[in-house]
Amino acid sequence: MAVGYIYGINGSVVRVKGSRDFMMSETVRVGNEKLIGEVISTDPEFTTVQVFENTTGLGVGEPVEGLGKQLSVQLGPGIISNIFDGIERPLKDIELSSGHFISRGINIEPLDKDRLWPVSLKVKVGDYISGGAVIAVTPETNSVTHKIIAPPKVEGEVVFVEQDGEYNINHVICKLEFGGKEIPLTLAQEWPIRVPRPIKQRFPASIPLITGQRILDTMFPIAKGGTAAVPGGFGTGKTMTQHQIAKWSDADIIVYIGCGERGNEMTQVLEEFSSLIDPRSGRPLLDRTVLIANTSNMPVAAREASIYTGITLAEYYRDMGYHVAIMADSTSRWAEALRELSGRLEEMPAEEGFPAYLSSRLAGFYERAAYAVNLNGTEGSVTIIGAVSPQGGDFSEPVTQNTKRFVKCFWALDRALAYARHFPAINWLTSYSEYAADLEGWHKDNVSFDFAKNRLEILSILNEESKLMEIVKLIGADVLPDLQRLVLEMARVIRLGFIQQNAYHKNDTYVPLVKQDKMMDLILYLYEKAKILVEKGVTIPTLLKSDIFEKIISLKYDVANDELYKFDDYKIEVDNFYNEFYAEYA
Amino acid sequence: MIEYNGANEINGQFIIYEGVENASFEEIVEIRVNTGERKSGQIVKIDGDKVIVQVFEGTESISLTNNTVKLSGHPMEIGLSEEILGRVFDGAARPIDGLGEIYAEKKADINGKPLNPVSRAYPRNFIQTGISAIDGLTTLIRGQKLPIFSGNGLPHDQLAAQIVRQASLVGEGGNFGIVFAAMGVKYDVAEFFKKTFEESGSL
Ligand SMILES: Nc1ncnc2c1ncn2[C@@H]1O[C@H](COP(=O)(O)OP(=O)(O)OP(=O)(O)O)[C@@H](O)[C@H]1O
Ligand SMILES: [Mg+2]
Repeated sequence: MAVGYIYGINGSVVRVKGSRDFMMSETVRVGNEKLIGEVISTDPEFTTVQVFENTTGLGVGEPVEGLGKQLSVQLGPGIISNIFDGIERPLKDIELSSGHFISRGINIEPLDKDRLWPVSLKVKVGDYISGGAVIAVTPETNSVTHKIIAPPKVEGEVVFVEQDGEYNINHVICKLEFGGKEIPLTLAQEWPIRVPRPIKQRFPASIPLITGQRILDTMFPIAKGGTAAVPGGFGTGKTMTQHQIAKWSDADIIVYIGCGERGNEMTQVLEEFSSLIDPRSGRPLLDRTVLIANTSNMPVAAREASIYTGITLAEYYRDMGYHVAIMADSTSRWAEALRELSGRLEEMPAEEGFPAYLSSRLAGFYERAAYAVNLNGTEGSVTIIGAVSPQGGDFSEPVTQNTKRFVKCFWALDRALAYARHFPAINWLTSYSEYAADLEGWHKDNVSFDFAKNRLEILSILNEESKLMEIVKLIGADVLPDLQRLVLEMARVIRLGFIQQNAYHKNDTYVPLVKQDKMMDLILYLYEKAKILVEKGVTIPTLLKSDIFEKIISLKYDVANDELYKFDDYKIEVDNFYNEFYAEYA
Repeated sequence: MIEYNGANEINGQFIIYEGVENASFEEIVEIRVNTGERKSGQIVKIDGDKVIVQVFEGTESISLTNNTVKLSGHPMEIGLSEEILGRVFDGAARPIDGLGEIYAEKKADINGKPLNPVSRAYPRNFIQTGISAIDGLTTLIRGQKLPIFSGNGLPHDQLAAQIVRQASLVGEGGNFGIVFAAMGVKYDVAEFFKKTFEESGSL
């Protein structure tokens, strides 16, 4: 294996001399302390390495040793509920070995190699299997059954199968024979993080990832296997949005990457997710979640890698037939890591100092989202939701702009809304989803026939409001005809009663699609009735004497998710309001 | 410790030395100018036997020939002990209050090490600043950070000083210390801080 020595050091970038045998993306151990690094370029004279740990004190002449394998993650049971750093080192084990502060050169296997997993084998001697085949299963957590799948590139006849029993991840549970060679398979496998795991076929988006967040699910839905960006200036709610999706979305597995953001936010996820109960499985949310943490104080090269580590873990669970959602908060910090590394490599900077390959890197990342038919024929998906933190909230900067090219949902957070404490502060005029049309069929079959129609009507009321507000700003609302004033009133009901959603309220933090649809139905029913009244000459001030508008606004708190029968009462109340006002004023 | 004579290039706050062996990254160096002046700096880049040093006290009076550089063999460290409470230091942790040197019980690398995210407890307690706009609306949570955005001519100095004077833990006892760093401030502002903290007993 290649061995060289340190020639130059510039931050996390180290230049190595003395060997021409390093391969691209090879994992290396750098210096006397054996810091972990990765080869990023090599020529006859120098090999350049990025080091994933702090390089202070590293000296010229110290050895650099290639490990002969690409930077990889270990895949197997023990990933879920765990928290890793950007290169899949287990942070809880690091705490045990080095205390509260992360020392350098720690060499700990990602997955616990002593823990015994109860394994049931799913193949028998004589079977011919290939990559992706499910060899065995083990309950990884109370919510997740881990399927031990044959690594993508192997195939052969099963010549040995271990009995069901309790084994550690390195135990050989099955042997294949191929071309006269024996291939032992254990509970774990490795995969290079920069290489997408293969699939059989991609499907176009047709099933939504249900988040329980009304503005997302109805106005700007994301598909399973889709991509979304959450851009927003500081304090507008990016992290909160990501947390809400991580908590309540109907994915089987959540991969949450804290990328250059606050350590406290990771603590919060760890604490909250172990106590919050997943409404679908009845188990703690942490039972389906894996965290990758490269917080702002952790080394920058590992931040660059954290995104790839996360997506590779996600693809692995997709290969088992799971729907995985991955959140990265924030891809801007990742892009800044790229920029810093690129600067240290003395590459030619492009826009705002970011490297010219920023866009292809972003594309490469978001392209790994897919709704797939896996090698083993199961279906699974990886949905990517990336937060973007443009400086000063200015969406014209390179990271936001380049991200926009590759994502199909754009959930634009708005400072003014956040400032007015309208949460989630997603601007309904500048956000979009290119999946809405693809998902219409699913909504029709699974929620209600009118879902798409309701959605469009709600959106059109909001759009009309924004047009009318231009006029109102100039000359006030009083001069508007009553039908238009009714639009403003209904838009208010929609904004406060439907779009605003309180993450801290137990009935409102998560709302199933049926309730979302019934809310839209009811609001539009009220609009329909009120419109008739106005057409019959009832004035707006008269209409507003009724408390029905406020009642519908606070419905989101008053009707719990399991009390949907109450919607009938609300409908009756709208009818009563209509009949009363019709009789008295029309 | 080996010394090297003469620089190869000086540019702004950076000096390039060639022919340097065994340098380590972010190592502290001492530059002796033949005027008798001593400056310290840090190696910010190494390329073979060429090192780039960032000089902390400015490169004024340094020429290509009038100085020698000595490598310390370690990154920037400061001496720590309980004695540092109540003292005033410059940016390199040297006492500037005329009260003498610190007897260091231990040395700490100022680059620190990253705190393991799993070792954090979610911050819940707060620090009372006695300023109602902060305590009531944007509470200073213990273990958190709270920026104060300001501009020219605004009383951020007074506000900062007021926070230092009044900050306290509420309810329970426990150890509470304040580190106040004034960076790039004018002489009179630095004096103002020192005076206020002395008078209020914060120092
Ligand atoms: N859906 C929501 N419901 C209630 N409050 C919210 C919601 N979204 C955001 N907030 C409020 O906004 C605050 C800031 O949100 P958050 O930390 O998610 O912003 P951010 O965009 O991630 O900020 P930063 O750029 O600093 O990381 C939260 O602490 C919370 O008070
Ligand atoms: Mg955030």
